[in-house]
Amino acid sequence: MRRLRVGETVVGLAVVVAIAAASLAVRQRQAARDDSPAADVPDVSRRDATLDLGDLRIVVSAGPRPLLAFARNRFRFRAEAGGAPVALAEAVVSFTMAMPMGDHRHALVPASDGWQDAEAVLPLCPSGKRRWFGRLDFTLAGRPRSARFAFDLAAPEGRP
Amino acid sequence: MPTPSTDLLWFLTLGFLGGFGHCIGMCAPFVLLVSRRFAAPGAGRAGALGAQLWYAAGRVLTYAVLGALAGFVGGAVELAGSLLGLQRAALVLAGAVLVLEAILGLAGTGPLAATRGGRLFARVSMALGRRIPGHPLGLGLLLGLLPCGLLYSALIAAVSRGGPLEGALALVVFGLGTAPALLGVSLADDLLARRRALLDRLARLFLLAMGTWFVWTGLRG
Repeated sequence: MRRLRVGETVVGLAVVVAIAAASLAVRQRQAARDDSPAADVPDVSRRDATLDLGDLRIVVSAGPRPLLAFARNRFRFRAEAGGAPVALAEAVVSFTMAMPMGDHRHALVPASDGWQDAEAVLPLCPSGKRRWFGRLDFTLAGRPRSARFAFDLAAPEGRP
Repeated sequence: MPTPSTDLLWFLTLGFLGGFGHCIGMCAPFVLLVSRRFAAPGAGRAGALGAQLWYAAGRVLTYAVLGALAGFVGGAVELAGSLLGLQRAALVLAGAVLVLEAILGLAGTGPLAATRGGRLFARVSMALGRRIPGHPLGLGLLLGLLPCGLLYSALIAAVSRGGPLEGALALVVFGLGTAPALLGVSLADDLLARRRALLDRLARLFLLAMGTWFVWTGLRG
């Protein structure tokens, strides 16, 4: 009986370790994508922001403001290098927040005046967290690049 | 391009990964509740597993209805607007159930249980406890309504599926994806805590804390 109890405990602990490892792996997967400190990330909640990547500047615009959960929010990007517009190849914008919210990735589509757009509907976090991070991945001159921005997502009408 | 698409595998992956990354944090108390409420310690592992499967079935059924609504309404905004109030009520109710279950378990233990006040408390708790759904399927149907960011993500993607049946199927697949993580929690609980008095009491204190937090979160809005 006692041996059975010890066996159960060992198996139980192994299950706990396996679950914890899986949970950690999923969270690490997200953390690996959010590699720059949140404080350094430009905020596009209230106004457009410019992401400075050295040789490349990307203007990010988001709207309609305020950005709302469960609503269609449009994220617009326009890249410039040396004052000339640049088209970002294979551009994808992805959205994450502190709580794992699943996979929110959207390919940019060309729009007018050199802008590239993506439309995203994002969920509300019931815990009350409102801060979201966007990450733009693209290819320029055959080299993969990325840039991050942040924004607050307000609750839809009727919610505080 | 892996956008939230019509691919059922996307929903399965969302549920499976989200199960480990998200659900075990928020839904573990309900897994513990189901085992304690619906599977007697003598019922063995099969009893606990059976209860968990019924609970999962209830949850998946509710998800299916929500998915069908998403497909039917065709817009996350409209769906969210009509669901948020209902979900907040479900959160308060679920929190109250957790608190009640924790109190029911704790009421019969400790030195205070033998006192007149303790006995009265236990009687009142028992009377209230009869209000908890009598079957894990019922509890799953109710708890599937809990506000959950991951579920919202699935519903947003289900909107693009283009019809109630497609939406329901997507959410069923999502719900099934979340099951392995939660069944893992149940197994660990069964092996480690459910039949050990001290750990079981600690688990009930966890239920009490989480239940209180859910009630507070729901009332706060």
